[in-house]
Amino acid sequence: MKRASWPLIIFIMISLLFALGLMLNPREVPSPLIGQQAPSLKGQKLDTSTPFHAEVLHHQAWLLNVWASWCTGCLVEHPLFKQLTQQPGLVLVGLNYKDEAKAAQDWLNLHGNPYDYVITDPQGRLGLDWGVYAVPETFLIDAQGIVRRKWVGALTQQQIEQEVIPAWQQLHIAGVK
Amino acid sequence: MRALILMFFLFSLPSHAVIETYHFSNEQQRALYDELVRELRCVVCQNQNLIDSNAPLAQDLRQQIYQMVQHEQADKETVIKFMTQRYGDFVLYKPPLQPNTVLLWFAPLLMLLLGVVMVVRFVRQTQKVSHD
Repeated sequence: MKRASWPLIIFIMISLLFALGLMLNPREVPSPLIGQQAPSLKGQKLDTSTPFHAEVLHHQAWLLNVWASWCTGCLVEHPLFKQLTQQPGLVLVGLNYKDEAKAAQDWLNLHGNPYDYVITDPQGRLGLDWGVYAVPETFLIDAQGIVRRKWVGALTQQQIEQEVIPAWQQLHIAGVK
Repeated sequence: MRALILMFFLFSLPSHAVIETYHFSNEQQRALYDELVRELRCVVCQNQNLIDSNAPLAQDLRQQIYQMVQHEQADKETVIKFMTQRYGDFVLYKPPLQPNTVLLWFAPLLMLLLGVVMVVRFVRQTQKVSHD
């Protein structure tokens, strides 16, 4: 009895380990930016081609959404952003990642523009600094310019209601004080 | 026949999906680039390194490494730091030895020890049985 049970115990332990592993999401690469000063966001605005610098957003919490007109996930989460724009004081910045200006503008005209600012990043240079690897990605930056959260992939209604808005609100209130 | 077999092996050398060619001013830089694109992981494709992947992100990262190695004379440490600052330790195929990777690094040794203990016990037990 004693001898037979050892392989069984090892088998159960390994099975548990594998079951735990299967429940993890390997697509989710933890961002080293969380808790760090946000990379600079210097670029051109999509609509006016005038320079933009994220310094104008100082002293308030804001959201950065990385999107592109060629990105299907972006189209999925896009209608849900109405909920974000309804929040008084919420600043949503769009980073138009590796896209053509005309395609991006057409896309916004067609589907609506929830962004307060849209910055172009045709070569993906800014995206590289932010560690973007799979659009859409959304970052939450606090009033001190520290990256607090990152969501990879299309946001769901549930995520927006239960994670994005509460997390932003908390930082927003802290920033206003 | 032998020549034919030899030919077969000649043409089946591992080929890489990468097509772009970069020009380096010296061999050290080329060697460093080659080392880095093999050691860094493509974050989107996950089980490929940068040289094996044709994902747009891998292309961008190769371009970035080339830029740093050729034009900024960056050393290995600088490039790796640049990448880990943006993409985390995940980009490294060789994870650094730190508190949360201790188990990863020493698990093989642990397994080996466990195996040795089990073999020793098994051998002793069978010896005892045969002596009895």
